[in-house]
Order: sequence, then structure tokens, then C-alpha cells
Amino acid sequence: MFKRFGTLLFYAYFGVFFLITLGLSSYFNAFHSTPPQPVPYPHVKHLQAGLQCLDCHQSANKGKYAGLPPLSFCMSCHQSVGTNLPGIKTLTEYWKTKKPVQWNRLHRIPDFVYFSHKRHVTAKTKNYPNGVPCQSCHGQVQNMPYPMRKSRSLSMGFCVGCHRQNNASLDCYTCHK
Amino acid sequence: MNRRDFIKTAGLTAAGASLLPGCTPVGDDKFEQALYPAPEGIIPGEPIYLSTTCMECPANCGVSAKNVDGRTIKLEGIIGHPINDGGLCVRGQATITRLYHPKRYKSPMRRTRNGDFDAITWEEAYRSVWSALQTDKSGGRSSVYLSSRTTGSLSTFIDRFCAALGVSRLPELEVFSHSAVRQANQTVFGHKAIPTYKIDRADFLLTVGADLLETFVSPVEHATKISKGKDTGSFWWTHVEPHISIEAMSADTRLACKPGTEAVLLGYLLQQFGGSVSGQGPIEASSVVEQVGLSEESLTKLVQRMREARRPLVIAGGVSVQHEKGLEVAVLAAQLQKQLGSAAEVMDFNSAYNYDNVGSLLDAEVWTKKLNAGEIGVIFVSKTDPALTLPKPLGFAEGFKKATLRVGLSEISNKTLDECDIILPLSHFLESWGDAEPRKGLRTIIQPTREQLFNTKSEGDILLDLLQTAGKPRPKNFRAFIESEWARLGTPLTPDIMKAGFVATAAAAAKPAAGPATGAGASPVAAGAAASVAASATPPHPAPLQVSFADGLSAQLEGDVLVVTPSLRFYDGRSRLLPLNAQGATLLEEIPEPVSTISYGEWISVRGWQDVTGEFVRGLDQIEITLGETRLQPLALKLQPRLPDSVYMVERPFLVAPDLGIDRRTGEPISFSPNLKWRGAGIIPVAVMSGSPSQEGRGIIPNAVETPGEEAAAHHKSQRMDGIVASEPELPGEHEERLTLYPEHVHQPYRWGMTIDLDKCTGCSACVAACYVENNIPLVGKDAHLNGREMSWIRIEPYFDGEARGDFIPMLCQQCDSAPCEPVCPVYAAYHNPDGLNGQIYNRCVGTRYCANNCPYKVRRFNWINYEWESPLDQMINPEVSVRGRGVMEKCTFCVQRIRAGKDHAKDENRLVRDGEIQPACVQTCPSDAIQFGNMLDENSKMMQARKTDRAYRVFESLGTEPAVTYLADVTKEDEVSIGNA
Repeated sequence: MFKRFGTLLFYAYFGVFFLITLGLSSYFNAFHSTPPQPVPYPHVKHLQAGLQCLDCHQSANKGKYAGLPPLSFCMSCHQSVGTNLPGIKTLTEYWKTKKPVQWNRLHRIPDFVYFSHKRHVTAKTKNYPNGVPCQSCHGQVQNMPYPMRKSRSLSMGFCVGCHRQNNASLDCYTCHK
Repeated sequence: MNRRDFIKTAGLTAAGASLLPGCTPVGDDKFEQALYPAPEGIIPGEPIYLSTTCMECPANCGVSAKNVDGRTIKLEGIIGHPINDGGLCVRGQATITRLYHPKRYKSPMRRTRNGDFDAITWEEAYRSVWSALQTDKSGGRSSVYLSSRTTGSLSTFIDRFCAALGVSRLPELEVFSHSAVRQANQTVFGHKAIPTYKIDRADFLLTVGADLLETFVSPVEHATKISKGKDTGSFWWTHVEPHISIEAMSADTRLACKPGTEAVLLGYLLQQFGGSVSGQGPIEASSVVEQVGLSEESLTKLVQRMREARRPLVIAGGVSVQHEKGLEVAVLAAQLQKQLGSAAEVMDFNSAYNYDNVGSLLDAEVWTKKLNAGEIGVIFVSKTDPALTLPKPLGFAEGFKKATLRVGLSEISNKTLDECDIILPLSHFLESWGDAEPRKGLRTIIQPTREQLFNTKSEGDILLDLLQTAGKPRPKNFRAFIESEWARLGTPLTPDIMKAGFVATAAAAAKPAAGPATGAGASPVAAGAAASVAASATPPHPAPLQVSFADGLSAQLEGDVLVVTPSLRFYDGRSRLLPLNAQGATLLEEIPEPVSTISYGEWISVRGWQDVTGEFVRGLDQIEITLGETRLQPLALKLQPRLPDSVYMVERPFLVAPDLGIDRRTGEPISFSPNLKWRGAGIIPVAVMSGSPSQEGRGIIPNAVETPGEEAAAHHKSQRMDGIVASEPELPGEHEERLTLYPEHVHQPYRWGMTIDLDKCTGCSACVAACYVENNIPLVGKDAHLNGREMSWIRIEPYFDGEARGDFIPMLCQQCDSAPCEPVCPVYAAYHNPDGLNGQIYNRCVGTRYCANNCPYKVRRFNWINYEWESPLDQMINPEVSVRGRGVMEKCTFCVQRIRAGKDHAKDENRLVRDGEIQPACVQTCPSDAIQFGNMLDENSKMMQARKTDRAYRVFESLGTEPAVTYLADVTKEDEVSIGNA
């Protein structure tokens, strides 16, 4: 009797943890999965073809936001390049119907944070004499096939850690607005 | 476990419990890809500035609209603009809430039988109007077009529209038509116009009733010029009026006269300077003292100052020309100016204000008679509210009902529009094309600063469409018409002009007008369309009025006198909008009127407090006013220090169709009523934001007497209703040597500081409005204000101790070096920043409110609830400033977002921030240039230079808080009020 009860307790004890893990994992997927995108855009192909980050994300060194290129910019190549690929067909369809593509956003910092791409891309520190490389926050994008992943937490700890290492400002007002 | 560890652990536990609260599930956050590239020079998230013209009042200041990602979020004055030179008033700052008002008209509407409005299409609206116009023609009724003051191409186009469709254009309706001043200038100078007053060129300014800084012609321009005059070092401003206003509290000398006696004073002055007053013998100083109520000494000083002045300027206007002797006041002021010999230097008729088409109330009387006789069929009412502003005896409300079709054009409803049959919704000027010509020789452009919010159109486009419905030729659109007009006038719209926002052309020399005499300035309604076109080309100049002074100079106002004053916040009522949010708030009502410090509510200011039966009535009780036969609606009673005895002061917008009569000679509304009677009528809650009219001896404004005067104490007693007067604290003058447990702060390379010149501050409250818009400050409404829960980060405090005049001081976070708020915060939300700012990190704040309790300046504000920004108000949110939620403390940050942007810009160019490069919103908008902002470590900065004067002091120096804000005390020690003991 006692032995059976003990076994039950044992299973119940670890069962609770199992259920929590199971629950959390499904929750995790809701927040941390890589979402499908309306157009299967592979970063790796474009960078292999010789493009640089700033070629498309043109305001990354000019303003707060890196920016997406306008669809007309994509079409300037894809009118002739890779037109038989299913992804490009989808893209062309968007362009023909003049419908803006609704991408799923991966990187989002909270509303109360001031973050300027320009300040980071053009920064000159001991560790980064030529500006903070995009990869420091966005991961190895140049190797990423479709779909693009978020590889850094972009939490406050992540920001402050880098600011500490590079002797950047630790004043709260630098980021909190 | 120490405090920090506890908070960390507690935080971890909380985070574990809720697991990433507030995250957006993947896939819910979309990022829209544009189809085409943004125009050259536009970077996402970075602001652009578009020049346009403020149409909130007839002054037409130039504004630069800040647009971020397609949303207009803030207005600033255009630097170098001939009218406002960078400044913008409280109404101009608040006009953006009209643009984003949730209750704006969203489509054309037609009134149904049960009085509601139904949305219709533009086509239906046009057809209804056109068929009614045709019925008018066949039925022998006339159709009329009524608008507020309209200038530039729109005025030309309205004339063209009226001519094409056989509509008569009525003289434009402005209650503040300044017709008495215009007529006096015609009599004396031969120009029926209001000149540009070169106040900055004058060394002595005498204003008689003219509310230069509130509604008189061009308030921001006047404030700017007075400030420039003060910079010259030899400038003296004496203000005469029967009541108390911000002008009285800002002038160097305030003279309070008995109501209706200004002409006696002016007649005396004219004779002193060798002029003669026809029909009057010599006016003795003793009779002036007796009639006007000034002391002999102040009279002598006034004359002496005027004698010593090289370029004196005399301006009469406002309430002083709105009584039975108003024309005498205006004419004597003009004659005095002429007699003083400086008119050519300080008045410029070549750049006179464009009031030619503005009619007076006599014109309104003509057309309201026709309305009442049923002679008018279709009436267009554009951007004006006659139901509110026209005196009741004109019978506008009754006559308006007799019109066959009432077509209203406006952005948002008002009393007149509510009675209309067809509503044609107007675009806000920030969404429209247009232009304006505020005065001769100055044309300004109006361009859209954002996309249309609703299905609305500009007035020009509506008229253009109506022309098409009528089958008449029309320009392609109103923008094309403007371009053709500008090309016709020799200044085609180039990108340079669009960027500058204005063109100053050489003004043709104004010729003294001599025209046929056609009566008292009324252009007859029946003149018809053709005449109306001709009229706008060559304005009618009837013969100058001959004024005889034989009937006496005093208006003989006996007993208690009601004075109806213009409103700083609402102009003639047009800026008083419908409630914006669930709290029933509007921006302009949220900002207290600076003299009374009342935010929400309608009140009457009184000095005494015993009613007709001798019954004691306490402050904030409601009273009912009886003027002869007329009874006004009950108004709250505000006990106003420094208001002369037996003067009762009420703002014009609070009285619907105020019935005090019309001056038959000038067409000005009468703003005085003698023999007023009143009685108590219960209690009404009115939000008075000031805790006390007295400084209670705390030395906030040092040149005021340190101890509260007997009178201030009495007022305080009655206003608080509890009879408790705070005992006078004895303050140490200096703080003892600083002892601190904390290390000294090191600031490098910046420590931001501010210098506020109280001599220049006029209390106009533009800074308060700018701060609200810039910093996303929620509008909390009347109930919160009644609970003392205001949210303003900067406020204007009036104090009435010692000096007879009263003083203003803007109070904002002092960014103390040794800040009392910082050490008491248990979570380090309040901290000291390396630039010397007292930072407040909203995410950290847990809302203990210890900091607010410990702040001696009472500048920290607490969010008691979450405030909703109802669409489209959310579009005016400044993306650079967090929107604070419930339970968070907030306060002035010296506009840290602007500091950040300034530093960012400097860093791009690899240099330090230049002096003057960063301007917080309050500094930027101040029309008087009273506030300087800069780096305290830079001794050469303008802000630090301004501090090098004996006038510099800091508030509550004795507390040792080491504020970064330095005030410059008012220079004036002299003033004079002689009625009773006011």
C-alpha cells in the first residue's frame, strides 16, 4: 500500500514538472518560434550574390530605423532575375496588385526605448573601430536561409552588457525615453 | 538580504509567475513594406518640418509643422517670420487638438426631421445646395455667404464664387473687428486701418485697454516686439484698464481707471502735450484724479515719462473702446499719438492689417434684419459662430430659423453649426492648401502637413465643386488656383517660398482714403455680387466720422459694473472645443487661465464678496447676475485679488449672445454694464488651480513684499472657506554650508540649465500648451483638477502680494543638483543624470509618490488612471516620448528627447552641442523670449550670460536644493492702482 502510494507520489511529483515543461514549451512556441513570412526571402542568397546590408536597409546609417527597401527596389532586379521561382512569383504578384507586403516583425524593442541604428552603425569604439556590425545584434544574417530567425534577446541586459564592454553611456536617459 | 536583493528576487518571482507579460505573440506584429521609395531627404522616424500658416485666429502667425512618419505632431513658430519670429501662442499650440479631435465632422451631413444629422455624399450635399440656390433665384430671396475674416486667394475665390452663383457676400464677421480703432485712425490719420505697431522701435508704450498679448490684432507679434523693446534697455510700458488682465500684470506700470473714464485721462494728456479737445475746456489734473481714480503722483509721473520719451506709442483698444465713449477713447488716443509727433516712426500704415472686408456689428444688424424678414434663402456660414457671438437683440437665432437652407462649413460643431441643415466638413488648415495675407506686403502659404484624416475638403475646394455642380467653369483644384494667383501677383510658388512659408513684398505706400460717404462703415447687403467683388478690390472708405467731445468724456458707468473681457484661451469663443476624451477635457481648458488660475468652468471675477442683501457669499459659490431686465446664467464667483472695487469681470465666451448693446457709431459691442445686481445661487465646483494668491512669505518672487498683505490673507481666508491662514514661516536667508553623505556630482561636458526672465514673462501660457503637446501629457479633466490631480509639467503661478500689480512665475522641475526627490525613491526611478538632469525612468517607477511628497516645488505629477488617446488623437503622440501608464510618476525632463536629438546631431558632426542648438518646447514657443536654455558649464552661453545680473535668484535657495533653473526678478518696483485699495 505504502509502496504503491510512494510510487504514485513519485510519478505525480515528476509528472507536474513534465506538464509544466510541456505547457511552457507550447507557450514558448507562441512567442519564440520563427514565423513564416508572406514571401520566402532568404538573406543568404542575397548576401552571397554580393549585396551588403546597407544596400537594402538604407537608413541604418542615417536614422533610427534600418528600414525596409521599397517593393519597387526589389523589383528593379526581380523583373529579370529569378522570375520563374515561386517566391519571386509571389513577390511579383504583390507588385502587380500594388499591395504592400506585410512582413512579420522579428526584432521589436519596447515603445519606451530609444534606439538609433545610426548611432550604433557609425559608432567608433575600441572593440568596434568601424561601427558595431549588424551581426552583433541580428546574428549571422548572411548565413540565414528562409525563414530569418531572431538570435539575440535584445533585452536590457543584452544592451547594457555591450555598453559596459565598449565604455558606452550607461545613463538611463540614453535609452529610456 | 538587502533592499536591492529583495527587489531583484521579488521581481524575478513576479516575472516567473506571469512569464513574459506584455510580449506580443509572434506573427501579430506586422511590418509593412512600402511600394515606392520615400521622397528625397525623408528618413523613416526622423522629423521633417513644413511651413504653413496658423489660422486659429486672424493674426495668421507662421508655423513650422513637425511631421514624423506622415503624422503632424507639433507646431512651432517659423524663426524669422515677420509676425511671430519663432513664437506661438497658447491657442496656436493647441490647434493641433482641433486637427485630431475625435468629434470632428467626418463626412458631409444633412439634418433629418428629428434634428439628428445623417451622413450624405458630397454629391448629394452639392445638389441640395445648388437646387436651393436656384429656388432662391426664382423665389426672389437672396442667398448670402457669411465667413470670418478671410484673406488672400480664398477671399478672391469666394468673391468669384459669389459672383458666379448670384450669392451676396456679407461683410466678414469678427466680434473683435477693431472698428472703433479703424474709424479713429481714419479720422486722425486718414487710414481706415490698423497699422503695424512698431513697439520695438518705441521707448514708451501707453496702452489703453488694448489686450496686446491676448486677442488684440496680433498678440504673438506684440509680445515678441515688447521683448525686443525691453532688450534695448530704454523701454517703459504703462497699461491703463478698468479691470485686471495679463497685460496689467506684465506692464511696467499698471494704472487702474474707473470703467468708462479712459477718455478723460487721454483728453488730459492730449492737452498736456499742446493738443485741444474740441468742445471741452481745459481738463484739470484734480478732475482727472477724481473722475479716473488715479493719484496725482501717478498722473505726474505718466506725463513726465511721456515728455522724456523720444518715440512714444499710444494704443487704445480692447474693452476701453467698447463702451459709450469708446470712439472718443480711440480718437483721443490717435490724436495724442499724432500730437506726440512719433506716429511715423512707431506706426506703419503701409503694412496695415488686412481688415478691409471685416464688418462691424452694425453690418451684422443689417443682415440679421433681412434674415428675420425672411428675405434670405440660402445662408452659408463658414468658420464663424454668430449664434454665440452676436448680441441677442439682433435676433440671429430666430432669423436663422427662417432661412430656407442653412449651410455650415466648419471642422467641428459649434452653436451655429448645430442649427444648420447641411454640414460641409472642412479640412483643418494643417490638411489644406491655401494662403493668407495677414497684412499689406506679407503673403503666407498654407500647405498640407499631413494626409486628410476624414472625408473633408478645404473651403476653396468645396466652392470649386459647387461651381462645377452649377455647371460653371472652375480651376482644376484649389491648389491650382492658388498657384495661378501667386503667379499673377508676380511671386510664383517656388520651393524656396514653400520652405520659408511667406513672402514679404514691398508694400505700396498707403494713400489716405477719401471716398464717398455711405454711412457708418456698413457695406449694404443688397449691393449684390458684382458690388461685392468690387468692394473687395477697392474697399469702401466712407467719410471719416466727426467726433465731438462736447457731450463729455466719461461714460458715466454707475454702481457695480460688469466688464466683458476677451479670452486669452478661447479668443471670442472659437477656440473652445468640444470635450476630447472620456474625462471631458480639452487642452485649452486644461491649462488654467493665468490670472484666476481657473481651468475648467465658467466664472465671474469679483473683488468684494457681499451680495445685494448683504449676505456673505464665499468664493466659488455660484451667483446670478441681473443687468436691468436681463438675467445671465449662473456663474461661479472667483475672488480676484487686485481687481478694482465694484468691477465684475467675465470672459466673453462664457456669455452666449451677450446682450449689452452695440455702439451705434462704431459697431463695436458694448462690453460694460452698470448697475449690476447679483445674488447667490448655490455652489458650483470650479477648478481653481492656485493654492493661494499669496506667497505666504516664502520668497518665490523676491521683490514682492515678503509677508502676505492683509488683503491677500483675507482673500486666502475666504477662498479656502475654512478661515485658516497659514502662519508666516521664518526662513533662513542662506543655506548653511552643504553637508552631504553622497559624493559631489561630476558633470562633463554638459550640465543643462535654464534662465527665466520674469520681467519678460507675460503669463501667456504658451509654454504650458507647448509642453502638453510635446510631452504627451494626458488631459485629465475637471474632476481630476477638482481633486488636485493636475498633470501639467510647467505651470504659471500668479502671486498678488506686496505689489499692487501681481506677478507671474512659470514653475517647472528645477532639475536640482541636490534633489530631494532622488534619495527617497526606493527603486532608483528618480536618479541624477550625468548631464545634471533629475531623470525619471517610468518603467522603474512603482508609484510610491515619495518623490512628489519630498519635492518643495510641487512639480511632480502622478498618473492616477490610464488615459485613453481616442483615435485619431493617438496620432498626435510624440513617438520620442513614452506614454505613461497608471501608477507612474512623471515630470518635466527639460525635453530630454530634444537634448538627445541635439546630441545625436552634434555627434554626427563629431563636435559638442552648440549654444542654442537645443531648445525645449517651452523655450522654443515663448513669444517673449523669456526663457533661455543652455549648458551651465559653458560660461559664454547666452543662458549663463543672462544670469550675470543682480536680478538672478533661485527659488527656495535656503533649502539647499541647488536648482538648475535661475530666475531673473522683475525689474519694476513701481506701480499704481488707485481705486479703493486695489
